[in-house]
Amino acid sequence: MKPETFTSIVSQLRPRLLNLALQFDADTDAAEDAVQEALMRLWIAWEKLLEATDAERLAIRLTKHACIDAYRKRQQTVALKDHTATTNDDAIQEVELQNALERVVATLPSAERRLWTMFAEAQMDSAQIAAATGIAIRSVSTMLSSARHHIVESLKKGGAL
Amino acid sequence: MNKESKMNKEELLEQYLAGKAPLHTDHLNLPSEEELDAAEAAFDKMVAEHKQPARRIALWTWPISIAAAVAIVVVIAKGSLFSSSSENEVSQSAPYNMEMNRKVAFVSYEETVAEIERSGQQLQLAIAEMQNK
Repeated sequence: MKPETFTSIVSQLRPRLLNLALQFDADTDAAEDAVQEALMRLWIAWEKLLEATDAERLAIRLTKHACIDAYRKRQQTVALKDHTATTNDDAIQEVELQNALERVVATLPSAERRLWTMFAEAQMDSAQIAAATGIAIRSVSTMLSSARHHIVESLKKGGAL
Repeated sequence: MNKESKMNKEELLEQYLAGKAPLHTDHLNLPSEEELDAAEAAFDKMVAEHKQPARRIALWTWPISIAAAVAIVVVIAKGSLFSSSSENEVSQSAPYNMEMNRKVAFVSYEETVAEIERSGQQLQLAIAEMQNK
């Protein structure tokens, strides 16, 4: 399917996907994360899809997959939390830029983090991000600038730059 | 940190900030059909399990709410009955109480008169005794 169709189809699909994710986890933030993950993957696969119904079907399956994936990760995090907590401080000195970026992105406010991940990881443009998140394009651009500023400042403060 | 690695870092960061160099490409790969099937089955199962207790609670809430409603109605009805009977009691006993009060007042007047008469008689007896002496 053509990239131009992504925005219109995804803006229609998004509320349905969000409801689906909310059925699994009542936490809105977790549901938004799952939808974001699913739509990023949908965007990656977009050109291989033939019809809108294929996109819809895949989006639903990807949202369910993202919910289960996040649930399993949470379970693993709880189990490993004690081990990782003790090594975190020591690892800070040796952290590479990639790890530092991951950390900084994780500290972004949840809506900004979702937008930034779509932009930086899935290389989606502002219109596609706006369709995928339900946020106005202008606000998307502003939030991306704010996230970029926050990342650079945090890296400077943390000594990674 | 040597100059070369610093340059590489800056370049990488610049590209990343421009949205041209993702940190992870692997996690955006599409899951296989088998993985999607497994995740879908697990999702549907967990959502169904999550819904079931809610339905049971919903079924239990009906008789409980009906019983509570009946209890409230009974309490209210009893309350209104008690309040009306006690009002009747007050209104029915009111004339009796008034009569009793009047009687008490009347009896005390008679007693007072009798007491005066008795003390008058005693005074007359005392005067007669003094005259005899």
